[in-house]
Amino acid sequence: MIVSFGLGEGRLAIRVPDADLAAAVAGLFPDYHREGAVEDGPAVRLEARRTRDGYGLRGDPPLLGGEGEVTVGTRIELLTWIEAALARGLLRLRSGLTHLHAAGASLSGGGVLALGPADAGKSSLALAWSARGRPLLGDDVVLLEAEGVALPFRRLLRVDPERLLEHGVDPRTTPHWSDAYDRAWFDPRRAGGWCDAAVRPSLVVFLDRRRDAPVRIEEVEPAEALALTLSGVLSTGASPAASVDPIRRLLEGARAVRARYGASARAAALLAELAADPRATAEARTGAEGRSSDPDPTEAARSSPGSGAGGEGR
Amino acid sequence: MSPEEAARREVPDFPRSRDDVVFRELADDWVLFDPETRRLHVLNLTAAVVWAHCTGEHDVEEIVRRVRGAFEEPPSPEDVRADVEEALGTFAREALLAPTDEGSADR
Repeated sequence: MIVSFGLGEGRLAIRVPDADLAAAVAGLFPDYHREGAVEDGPAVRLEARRTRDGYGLRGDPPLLGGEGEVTVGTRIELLTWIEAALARGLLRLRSGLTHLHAAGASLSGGGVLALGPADAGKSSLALAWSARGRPLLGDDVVLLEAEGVALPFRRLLRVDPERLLEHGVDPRTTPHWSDAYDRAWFDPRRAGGWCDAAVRPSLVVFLDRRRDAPVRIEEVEPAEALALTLSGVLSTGASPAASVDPIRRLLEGARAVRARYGASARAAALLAELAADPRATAEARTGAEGRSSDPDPTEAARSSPGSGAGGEGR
Repeated sequence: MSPEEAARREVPDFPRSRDDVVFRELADDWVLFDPETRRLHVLNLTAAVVWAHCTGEHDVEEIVRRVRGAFEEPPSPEDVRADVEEALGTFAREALLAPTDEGSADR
């Protein structure tokens, strides 16, 4: 059986050995699943099969973290590998856009992006937003267009089951979870859903989890915000160099802050505060529009009496 | 750093910026993004003017003259020269300039 997915004009498909697995795989990306029979062809870039000891998954190495084939013992492990491979494949269908390692949600009149490394709290933040009815842009990847507006990447949230319980969701009722697995998949369509249009973020948050640090939100200067955002550009999309201008346009219309926190309880409070009333900390800064991409500092120098020299690396 | 690498990072007679380095204005700053190192360099105004003149067509003397000319109230020639040399030294040290042979190819 072949399960097909689509994003934009692109198609991606996987061959699976039975109907049960086909239904489970289709549920990994319900918004991108395409019904109907699919012919074998170049879109079929993954194949799952049963083995004597479990399951095998083979396909394009870039989709499998560089491996040509992986073998796993359980169905939940197989689904985890398939989900990651499909995510990489779907993202490559939009490789012309900037892919940010970020969580995001829509607010009234704008949006918020939260960037940070793995375990910085992005998925917990996305879950908190979703549980409060905010349409999501993503919990791990958000797409950025050339104009600096954000598009959703509709990927199920993988979160700590205890975190789901905190929001009143029984992890046993979410798709693809087992007692032996430390993550549950949460479908935002059960709560705030997904953004159905491009969103212009008004707040960009850099998550900075530090042991025992008090919760604090502080402003981030534009150059540092650009550097931090560039560090969150994923390799599946436009290059960092090609992402400079989209990110500049994003930051020209958004306030950039760093959210520092330590203990998880305090982190949860911060995330809930941001999720509950992000506009309280998101006064949109007026951004200059239509800036030239080929700047001429000589013009600025004419109205400035001297200035020290030297570049400052960051 | 090898001797070859050190030589490569000296300021060329006619400095030229690397084609792949992204130069942009950002709020009150000027920034360079080096796609090879993925580092962002923040420039003050004088360094930005110096960078804008690293076209491979001007030697250091000419860049000093042009930087002085860019300011309505220019600092002293000595101060400008010091600032220009500092900026060029930083660009070279950070490998933001085209290699010498490449930098002189267009003259």
